[in-house]
Amino acid sequence: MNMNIYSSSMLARVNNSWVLSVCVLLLFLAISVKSFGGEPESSPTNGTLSTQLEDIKKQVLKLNRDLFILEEDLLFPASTQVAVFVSVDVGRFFKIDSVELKINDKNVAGFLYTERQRKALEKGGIQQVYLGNLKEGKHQLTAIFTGFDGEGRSTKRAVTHQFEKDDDVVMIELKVEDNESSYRANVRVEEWVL
Amino acid sequence: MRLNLHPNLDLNPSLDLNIAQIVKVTLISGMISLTMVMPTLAETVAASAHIEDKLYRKALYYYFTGDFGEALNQISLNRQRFNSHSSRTRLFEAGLQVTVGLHHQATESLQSLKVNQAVSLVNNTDESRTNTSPKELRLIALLQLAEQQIQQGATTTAKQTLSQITEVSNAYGNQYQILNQLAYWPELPVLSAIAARVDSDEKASSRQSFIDGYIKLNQALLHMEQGEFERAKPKLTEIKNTLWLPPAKTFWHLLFNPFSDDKNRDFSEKVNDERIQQQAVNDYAQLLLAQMYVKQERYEAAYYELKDFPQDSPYTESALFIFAFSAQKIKQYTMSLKLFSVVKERFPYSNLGWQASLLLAGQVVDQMSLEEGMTSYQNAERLYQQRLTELADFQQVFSTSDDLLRFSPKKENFPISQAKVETATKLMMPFFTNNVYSTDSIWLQKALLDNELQAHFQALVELDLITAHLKRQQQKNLWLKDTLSLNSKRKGKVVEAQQGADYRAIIAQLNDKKQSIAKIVADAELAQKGSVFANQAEEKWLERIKASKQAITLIDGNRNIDEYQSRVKRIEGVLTWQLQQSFPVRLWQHKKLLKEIDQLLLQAEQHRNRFVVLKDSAPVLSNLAERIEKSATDIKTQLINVTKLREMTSHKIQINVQQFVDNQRVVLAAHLLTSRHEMAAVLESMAKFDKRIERQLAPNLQNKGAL
Repeated sequence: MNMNIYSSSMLARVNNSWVLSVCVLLLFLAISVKSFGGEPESSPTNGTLSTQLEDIKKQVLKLNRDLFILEEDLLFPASTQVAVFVSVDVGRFFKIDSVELKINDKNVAGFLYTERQRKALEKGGIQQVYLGNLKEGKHQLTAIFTGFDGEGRSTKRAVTHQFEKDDDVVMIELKVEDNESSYRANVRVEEWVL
Repeated sequence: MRLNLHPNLDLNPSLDLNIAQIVKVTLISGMISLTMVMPTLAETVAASAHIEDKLYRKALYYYFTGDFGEALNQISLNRQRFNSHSSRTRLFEAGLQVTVGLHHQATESLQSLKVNQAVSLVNNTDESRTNTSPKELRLIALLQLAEQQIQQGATTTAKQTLSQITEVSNAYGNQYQILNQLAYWPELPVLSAIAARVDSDEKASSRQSFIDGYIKLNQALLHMEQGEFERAKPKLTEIKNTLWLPPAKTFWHLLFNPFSDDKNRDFSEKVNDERIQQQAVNDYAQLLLAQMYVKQERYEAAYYELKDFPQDSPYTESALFIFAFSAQKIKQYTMSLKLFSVVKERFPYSNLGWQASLLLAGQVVDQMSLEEGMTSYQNAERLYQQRLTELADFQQVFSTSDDLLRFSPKKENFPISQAKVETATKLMMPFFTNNVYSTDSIWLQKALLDNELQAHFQALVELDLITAHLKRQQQKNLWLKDTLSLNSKRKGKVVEAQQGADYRAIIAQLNDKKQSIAKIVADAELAQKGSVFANQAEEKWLERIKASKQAITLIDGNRNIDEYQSRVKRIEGVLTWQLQQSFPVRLWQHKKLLKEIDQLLLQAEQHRNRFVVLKDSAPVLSNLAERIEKSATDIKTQLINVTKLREMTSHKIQINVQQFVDNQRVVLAAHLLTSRHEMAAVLESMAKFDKRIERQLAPNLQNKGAL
């Protein structure tokens, strides 16, 4: 009697978190209903293959990281590297839709947000929106955010920031923050101190 | 959508250095001020915690967008680049490892975290500043470690891990209890932290979630296994009649079980899933109750228990069969006949369906006529023969299939074919899939109920994704190699162009010039000579005065020059007075300019030195080239490994499917044999019946003959 046919797929679909418990339930069922002429019992998953698969995954992830570092070392050395990040604090008064970045009045990056990416920011994620190279000296960053206010009206926020590039990496965070007193969002700029 | 992230391939702008230009331009530019602030120790610690938080949130962004591989990559980068490895980050990493199927690595991460947390608790280090307390982090780590150990079959170690938990908060109480049940199964769990868990009042007030349902189901199952049916019954009845709510989940719950809250699904889907989940728990308890009654041979109770069992439940097949079986046992023949017919028709490929055919035929023989019974057995025999033929066909086609994933697949099984080949610069692609492999082949569907086989098919899917990913890495590596070669050439050209000019000599020359100016300024200061700083107009005036004086000298004796002399003196006096008035300001300005020149010359010297370093930085480039070569070799090795593993997995699948086919064949052959035995018995009964009639008729015939 194959009582576990639907139970396994069903419970695995609706809640994977307790699959283990279900396995136990099913194990019991498989044994207890044997008298009705049940399915053959399945043996545990082959350890060697799964270990090898895990090992390959691990290696592929390592290769990913190595290639990423290689790319950064080659294209964006610390002495010239500039990175710009975007974060959102709460996001009640401004639903971010896009951002446009200019460095020294030159467009360098733009990003259109999907619902999921916007929510990722509102949940506390920080997104790297730009990575590039700049010579030493003074520069100007301009960011223009478009989005929707609390009442769904299209709105824009812009910020300009002067910064100086020296031998170290420059990391600038553009923080879209709700202002409870004015019921609107402001963009604040923070340079990361490494 | 990313519009432009990689601007261009400008390797290093400092290579385009033009020192002379810099000196010229910056001579008139503003002064650069550098403020050196020495941070205190407290500030440094705060800054490092601050940056750790930022880096963690970078990984969090990828996690929330569903890019788990990239989140893991970010954590790894944070550790390598910024030495960021707080307990929170490590727990996050372990959760991500679980998500992408790196269970052994996750176990290692949790083990190390456990050790580190013990130290952290003693020292009360940085973790106290994070949202999750060190105590809670330790608890989560231990629970997740135990879960991983149970999943890997290491129940003894899991028990040890669980025994280290002394206190469990409400949010993790259920998880703790269920893990204990699993680790100690089939014994009663030893809950070391149960006293510190929730007190009974608190628990009573808290809502009943699915998890509570699972805990109770496990308890009931344990009772049933130990033959304590009377203890199992109230539990199952309670589970059956309770409305189970979805459990409240923390971030860490979701992290370690990411697919339990698929963010891609909309609200109505989630609600529907929750309803199904609740129904599943209730139905399962109802089915277990019925099954328990059958074990106790209380068929009537089983029959009435299943009378209102829902038709669209995941357990309908089993429930229907037990219902029919119980009906037959309590002599509800009309009902059981109908029910067995339904089981047979609705589940033609299941063992229960096959078994139902036999039970149905048996009942037809008993309740109806031998002829009808015979027809029923013949139908059953045909069914088994047909299944055996289909099974043989399936085996033949499957065993000759080159690519097992191409064997009667469902379209959604092929994320690789849908994946577009993007530009080489965009490397990241999720090579972990949450989609469970499924097929259109009925026999393979049945075979896939075996977890091992399902896992092997899943491995094949993942291996294909990994292969696609490795090929993209190969492209990327090639692109990096080309870029490096282009930049080496570019650097060579820049170096060649710059070699024409001797910057050291130019800087020295400029230095000499500056020195001579500095001397003039110093002399002027000493002599308080304002004329040194005269501007162009003043210079002209001075020239004119000089010329006028010469002219006066020439006409001296011919004319009266007194008036001329006094006028020149007057003008000269005014001019000298003006120059002396502006002397301090001009002196200061020149000194300031000299200072700026000093700085600019210093910068120029630094740029020159840096240029020399960059010019001679062949080792850096060769190091990069070496790394690229190494990556190429590693990718190649991994591609070979993947191919080998794919072959091994395919071979394993073939063996498993062969075993499945053999088992099914045995089952069907047994049913076929039984049906034939039963047919023989029916035929025998029919023969006996015929003989009896013959005997009954025979005396009459004999009598007729005699007459």
